[in-house]
Amino acid sequence: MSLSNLNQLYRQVLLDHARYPRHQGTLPAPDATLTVHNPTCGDTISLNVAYDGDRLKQITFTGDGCTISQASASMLCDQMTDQPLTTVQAKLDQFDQLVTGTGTATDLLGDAAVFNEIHQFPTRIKCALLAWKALEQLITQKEAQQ
Amino acid sequence: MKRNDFPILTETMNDEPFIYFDSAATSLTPEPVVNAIRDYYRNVNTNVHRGVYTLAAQATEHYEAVRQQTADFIHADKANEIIFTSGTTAGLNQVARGWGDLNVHAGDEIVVTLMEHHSNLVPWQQLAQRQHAVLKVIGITADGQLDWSAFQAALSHQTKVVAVTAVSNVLGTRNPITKIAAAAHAVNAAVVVDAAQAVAHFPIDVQAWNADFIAFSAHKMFGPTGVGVLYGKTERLQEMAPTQFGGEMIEDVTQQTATFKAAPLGFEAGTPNIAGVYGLGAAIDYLAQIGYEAIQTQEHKLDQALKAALDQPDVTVYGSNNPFAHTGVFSFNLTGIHPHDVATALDQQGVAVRAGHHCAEPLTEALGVHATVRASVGFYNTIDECARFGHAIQATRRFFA
Repeated sequence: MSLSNLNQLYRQVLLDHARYPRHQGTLPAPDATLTVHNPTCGDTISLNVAYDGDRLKQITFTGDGCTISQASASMLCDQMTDQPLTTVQAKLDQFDQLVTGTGTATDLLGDAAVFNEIHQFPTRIKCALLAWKALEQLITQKEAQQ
Repeated sequence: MKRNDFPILTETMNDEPFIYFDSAATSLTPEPVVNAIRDYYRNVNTNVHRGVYTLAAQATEHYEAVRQQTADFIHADKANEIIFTSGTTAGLNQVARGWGDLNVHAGDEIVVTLMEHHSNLVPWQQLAQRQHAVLKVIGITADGQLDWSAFQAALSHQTKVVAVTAVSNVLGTRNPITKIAAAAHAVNAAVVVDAAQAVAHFPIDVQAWNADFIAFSAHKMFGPTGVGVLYGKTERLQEMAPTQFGGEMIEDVTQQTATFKAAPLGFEAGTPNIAGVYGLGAAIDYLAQIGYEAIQTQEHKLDQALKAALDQPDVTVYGSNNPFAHTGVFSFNLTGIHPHDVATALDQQGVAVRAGHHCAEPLTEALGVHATVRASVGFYNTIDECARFGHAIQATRRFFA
């Protein structure tokens, strides 16, 4: 039956992140915040980050949207908390390649490796990337300020 | 059976029989329309209003015949009241800029409804900003109908335009255009109707509506994309300026100045979508052949079947409780499941629906949600498809439970 295909997309770990999102909320003193939208569906993610030199010390999110976008944001924050910016960039690159089907490396991605089948659902790639693209924008902003 | 005219309906999608429930986005195109477009490119393929040779004259003759056919189709007085556009959006923008800039001034008021598609809202927002006019948005009642007393209260001698959709693309609500036009005309306001969602479902009679401008698209009435119709009353078209300039629309051009043709050609700058107009003509023929009566009989059954399919726990349907007030459009949500996830789950079961705000963000917000799932049907859909859609929703609920 076709719904069995859905199990490839909505795996248990993903549903778990969507139901019990990690790192949800604001930060008392963020260095930067950014809100992004997916205009086609109205999904919203706001990221809050705090840096410590060249480390991404803290990252939290608030938002509203589908299972994929919210779970993905939760996993992003899980993966990026207290990471050197070089690692953050490497993870961002790896995730981008994973969800667009242009790469298969997942050694840096932890739970987020669960998105390895999403390229079979091309209309949902944007949902998975929403939070990750937002962080990429924040990192670019930080680099521009330096 | 007319389903055979739509080959896509026999396809499978994700190993399931394909169920197309997104006709409000675009209707499927029957073979005779596809053939008309093909015939133009294969056998005619000349420009209109230009060539002296026989084949070019033939294209012009057919193009103008479709104009007359379109006028007859919506009961317009004259073919010259029919302007071919690229679609509803282009038509509404033409009115907002070409007519609005000349006739709406500082302090004047523009009245729209909360049910408008962005294409019948944003051009009026822009006009209001350009002219320092006031935009008033009339709300809806709990069952998705126009708030009539608020509408009446908003009208005054300041009102210059009432822009309203004939059918909501989210709720399927039909607005009482004849009544709206009468009230608007009582304060000398012009009435602009977005008929995009109406034309596949019931006949448009511009005489009965008495609207000043009406816009619709061919691709929502079994015709091709990229072509549409702007109807304007002759006296209103005389008050409207062209917004695009170039070939075909001019009368005389000197190095520094130009004069323009009257409607309709004065509003059709550049080579038009000739193949599209051939397709539009074939779509009008096709509609006539099926007949609105047969369409409505079938859609009546579909509305009932869709309502029944959605009558299950944890399903919220927006708009009227009366299935016949939906014009084939049902927006809904499943409690606790995001519309995008629902749409993906339905897609995996072969059902094509839309999820999102359906280019009507203010209405979606007023419904208290960020997005909805929308199932919308055409006469080519079946009761069996509605039942299978209901089962697919059940399976979706179980999957995400």
